[in-house]
Amino acid sequence: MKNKVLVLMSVVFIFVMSMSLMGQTNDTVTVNATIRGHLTFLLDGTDGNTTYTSAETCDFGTSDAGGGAITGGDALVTGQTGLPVDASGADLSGGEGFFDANCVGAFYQFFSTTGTPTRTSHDDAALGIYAKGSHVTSYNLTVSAAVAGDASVTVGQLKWKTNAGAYGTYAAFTAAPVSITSGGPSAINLMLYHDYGLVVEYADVPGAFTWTVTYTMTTT
Amino acid sequence: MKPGKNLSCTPQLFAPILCAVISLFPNNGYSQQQNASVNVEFELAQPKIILNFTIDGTDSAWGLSTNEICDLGTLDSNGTAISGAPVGNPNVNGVAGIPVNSSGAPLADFYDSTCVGAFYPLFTATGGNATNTHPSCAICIYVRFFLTGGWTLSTSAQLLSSTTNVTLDQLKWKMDATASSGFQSYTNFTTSGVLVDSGPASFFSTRYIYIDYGLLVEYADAPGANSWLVTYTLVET
Repeated sequence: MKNKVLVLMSVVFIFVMSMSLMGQTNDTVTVNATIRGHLTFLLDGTDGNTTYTSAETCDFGTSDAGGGAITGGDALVTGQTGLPVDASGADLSGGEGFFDANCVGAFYQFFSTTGTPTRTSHDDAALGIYAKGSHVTSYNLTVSAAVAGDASVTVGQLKWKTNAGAYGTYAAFTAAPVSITSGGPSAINLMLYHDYGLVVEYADVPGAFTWTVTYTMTTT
Repeated sequence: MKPGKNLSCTPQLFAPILCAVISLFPNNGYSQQQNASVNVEFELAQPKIILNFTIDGTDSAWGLSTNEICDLGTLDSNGTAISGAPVGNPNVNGVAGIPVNSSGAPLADFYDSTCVGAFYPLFTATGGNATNTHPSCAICIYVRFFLTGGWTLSTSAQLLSSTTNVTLDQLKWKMDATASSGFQSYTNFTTSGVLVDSGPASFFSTRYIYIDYGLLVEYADAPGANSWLVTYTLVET
C-alpha cells in the first residue's frame, strides 16, 4: 500500500513538474502569406453574348458609302444605317445629306444611343472593357490598331469614343498607342464602355477589311 | 482518453484525499515530500493555476508545439488556388479563395462590382478532427489543466511584416464547428485580446480547441510577403 501511494504521488509529482507553473502562459502561431499580383483584363464585343475574353470579334457585316443598312454581321449591328459626313466628321444629315458636295461617305455608329450599360448588358456600346487587379504603383491602358485590306482604307476610318461621350468626341484609331486611362497607386478596377464608329468613304475600294485593335494594360 | 473529451473533478474532492495520503507518513524519510504536499494542500484552498497548452498548425507534422508556423504559400485577390506552401497537415495548397464583398458576404463571381477580393477559408469542412489529426481546421489547441481555478483562453495578433494596404484584421478566425458564409462568421484578429474559450475550476482537465483561420486578400493589397504573429494567452480566472 505504501509503495502504491508513493508511486501515485511520484506520478502526480512528475506530472505537475512537467507542466507550466504559472497563472498565465502564451503560445504563438506565425502565419506567413505571400500575395501574388493579379490582373484580370478582358473585353466583350458585339457578338451578342456576355462572355468577356482576351480576343473578341466585332463583325460589322456589309456596309457602304451611301449609308445603307448593314446586312450580315453580328445581330446587334445588323440594320444600322450610316450618317452622311464630311471630311471632318460633321453630320450632314440636317442638310443635303448624302447629296452634300462635301459628303465623303457614311459614318456607322456602334451605337448612337447612350444609356446605362452594365457588364453583362451593353447594347448601347460596342465594347465592354473589364480590368480588375491588385494594387500597383501605376497603370496605363492604351489602344492601338492596324488594318488589313486594300490600301484605300486606312486605320483611322475606325474610331472610338466612350459611350457617354458626345458624337464629336470620336477619336481615330492609330497605329501608335493612345492612352485611354491611367491611374495609381491603387488597385485596378475598371469597367469601361466604348462606342465604335466606322467611316465608309466613296474613295474606298470595296472588299473585306479587318482591323485588329489592341488594348494594352501596362503596370508598374 | 479520447480526443475532445474533458476529464475533470474539483479541487475540493482532491484535497481530502491528498491530506489522508499525507497523514499516513508522518515520520519517515519522505516527510519532506509530505511537507511539500502540505503546501500543495494550501494551494488547493487557494487554487493556483497549473496548466499548459500546445498548438498544431498547418505544418507538415501533426506535432504540437508552443511556437507553430502556418505557411499559407502564395495567393491572390482573384482566389487562385494556394500554391507554394510546404505540403502540410492539413495541407493548404490547392485551397481556392471565394469572392466576397467588403462585409464578407460571398458573391457569385469576381466580376461583381462590389467584390473586394478573395477570402481563403482554412478550412471549409467541419468536424472530423482528433488528437493527432485536424484536417478540417487550421490549428488545434490542446490545453491541460491541473488544480486550476477557472480559466480563459484569449488571442491577439500583430503584423510582423506587410505590404501596402494589408492590415492585421485581414487574418480572421472562427471555431471549426461554427458555420460560415464568406467571412461573416469569422472574427478579426486584433492587437487586443479576444476571448476564444473558457472553463470552470477543475482538478484535472484537458480540452481540444479546433480553430479555422481565414485570410482576406484584397485587390487593394500590394503584392509581396506578409507575416502575422498570433498569440494565444491562457489565464487563470
